[in-house]
Amino acid sequence: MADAAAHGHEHEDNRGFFTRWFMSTNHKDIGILYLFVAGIVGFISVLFTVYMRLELMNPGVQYMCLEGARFIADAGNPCTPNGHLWNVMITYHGVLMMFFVVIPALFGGFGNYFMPLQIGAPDMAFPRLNNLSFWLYVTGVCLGVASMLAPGGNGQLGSGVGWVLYPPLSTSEAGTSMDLAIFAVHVSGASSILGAINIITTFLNMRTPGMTLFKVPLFSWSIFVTGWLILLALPVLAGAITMLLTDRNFGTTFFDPAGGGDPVLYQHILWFFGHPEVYIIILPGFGIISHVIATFSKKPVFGYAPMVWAIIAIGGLGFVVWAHHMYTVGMSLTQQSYFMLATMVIAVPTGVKIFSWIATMWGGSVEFKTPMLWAFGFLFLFTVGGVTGIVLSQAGVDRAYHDTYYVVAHFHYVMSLGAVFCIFAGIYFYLPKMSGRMYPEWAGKLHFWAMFIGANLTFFPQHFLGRQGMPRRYIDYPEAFAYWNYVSSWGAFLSFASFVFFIGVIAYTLLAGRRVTENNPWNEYADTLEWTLPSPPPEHTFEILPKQEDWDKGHAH
Amino acid sequence: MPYEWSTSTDRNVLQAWPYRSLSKRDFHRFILISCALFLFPLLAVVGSTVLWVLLGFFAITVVAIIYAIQRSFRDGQILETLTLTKDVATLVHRPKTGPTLTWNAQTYWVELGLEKEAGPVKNYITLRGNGRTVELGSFLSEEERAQLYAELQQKFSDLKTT
Repeated sequence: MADAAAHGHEHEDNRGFFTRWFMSTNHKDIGILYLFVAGIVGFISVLFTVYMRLELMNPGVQYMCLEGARFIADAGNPCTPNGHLWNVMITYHGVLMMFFVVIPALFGGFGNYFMPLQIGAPDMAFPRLNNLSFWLYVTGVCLGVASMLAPGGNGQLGSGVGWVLYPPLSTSEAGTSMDLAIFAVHVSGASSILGAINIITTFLNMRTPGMTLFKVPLFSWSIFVTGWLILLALPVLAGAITMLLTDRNFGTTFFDPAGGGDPVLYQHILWFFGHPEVYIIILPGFGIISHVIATFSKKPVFGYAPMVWAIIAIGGLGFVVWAHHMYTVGMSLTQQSYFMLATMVIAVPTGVKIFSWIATMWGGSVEFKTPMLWAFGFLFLFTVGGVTGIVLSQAGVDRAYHDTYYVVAHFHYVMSLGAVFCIFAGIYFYLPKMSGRMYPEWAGKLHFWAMFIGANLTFFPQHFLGRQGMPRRYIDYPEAFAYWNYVSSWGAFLSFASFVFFIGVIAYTLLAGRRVTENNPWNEYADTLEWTLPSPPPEHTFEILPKQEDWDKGHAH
Repeated sequence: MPYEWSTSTDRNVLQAWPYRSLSKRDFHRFILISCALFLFPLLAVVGSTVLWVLLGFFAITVVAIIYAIQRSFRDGQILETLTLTKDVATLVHRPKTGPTLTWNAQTYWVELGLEKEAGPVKNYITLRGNGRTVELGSFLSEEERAQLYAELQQKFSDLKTT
């Protein structure tokens, strides 16, 4: 036993810059690191889309030329279309966004920062493992960028196989680029699994006394279910791409029919990971939105228990619907019927959540501060994306829409307009807590409206293009598709402008924003434990476990 | 309540340990459900060599999560045992790693102390005797320590007066 210490130890934060940010084992610092790195990678990934929309703005190829990539169209010089460059752009946009932007921001960033705070834990269960997860993620990012710049197929740099890395494309792509891409996904997968183990252990074993499972705030619940999905789905991906790697380099034939393998099998296991991945991306967003809507409606969230069960049900159902991504590979009618029905069932728990959010606002005193605007935008647009999802879930209808822009519009509505709006809602909601400074309200609103209009202008016309039959993943298109492509491109430029403006807002807020002195800058309906701490929270929090009356308000969270 | 008394005619034994929110039963449930969910993707690949590769990755993951949660249980395995008899008070502190620490003193001369604010934690309980001051239950919650202090006062005064 320790001999008694006469005086309390000091709560002074005397770490240097390098120690604090590069050797951090503190969950709050690691959360902030995740958010920043995800932001930087997101910016790179968004740059690709701007270049792609520039190319698609007009029929014909003006920018991605074999003679050299251009940024200014030049009709005087000949331009041979460079399909490889296009393919590289779509591939890395997908890989970076799926693995290195959205998951790290929501799960790594907000999850790390706020889950331990909400459950009243002093830190994560394994702080050093947390540090390892973060740096593995950074390593994955570096490998991904290296892959883009390494020699690949068609005698050019990078791999153009699409983010799903389907064989035989991925097994026959020349160069080292593909191998580096596989390593990048491996390392980021390892990072996610270690992160998930940490989150699960923390959630299960470090809740504050009295906080039983069905008293945990919704955001922490969503992070736990996300962690569980990662734990179950990522090993499948790791296995799949390991087999790709051995097929490429060691002569195995897991996915090569010439040696008795089956490329469709790869699609099965890829989507067995890929579909839960969609929920891994969106579930933490659901959690954030619940808190934002409750806070700015000045009402406790409607139907806490159904909300929790809906999260669990969405997670569970996410595992049994994977083949709706591949109706066209030649499954039996019975299989297709099953996957179709199972997919439609997901609309039930999702509907429970949507209606509970609406019921939370019903009769509440709704205040349209910036986070609430984002939450509202999310609610509307995610529903649009969900409805097109129901359309696409029909195996017969999917025959027509498969690999058209309708699919592109659908998944960007749920992810770009769903998950990304959640990230922004979370950033504006928690910015005063994390930084101790308040963003300028007008700037947040301007950002929202520019992004809302821009993103809708980008993706809504893509439904029309898909219905006209424009296929995905092509650098060029016939004259007939020109009109809506032109509109879509302007939408993309507006969204990009809003993103650049957002970077300015963040820089201004962090450097010169108005200081927040109170613990809770919103109102008493932001009633989870993080709002009982100073803004920004000190280095060590809840070393003494919080008391039940601090968090248990007698109603659902 | 992460501390308990067991009292017999001649001795009072207090055991205290840090709070953990997961029960062993729920731990087993969690692992069982995870393993069941792992079987789903395997359905799709039955009859091909891919099954064995995936199985290998699942095995690694299951072992890792079991190890992690058990490690987290072990990190919380501090046990403090205070044995009070009419003559001797003995405190044994068994940490998760490292040697067991013990302290003892004559019960009559033990001074029980409570630092409400100034200690490392609020309601810091100390025992002074035999030339040393030691802490008790610093991992308990604030209210638990307050309650424990009252109970200790009662026990000591009972022992000193009989």
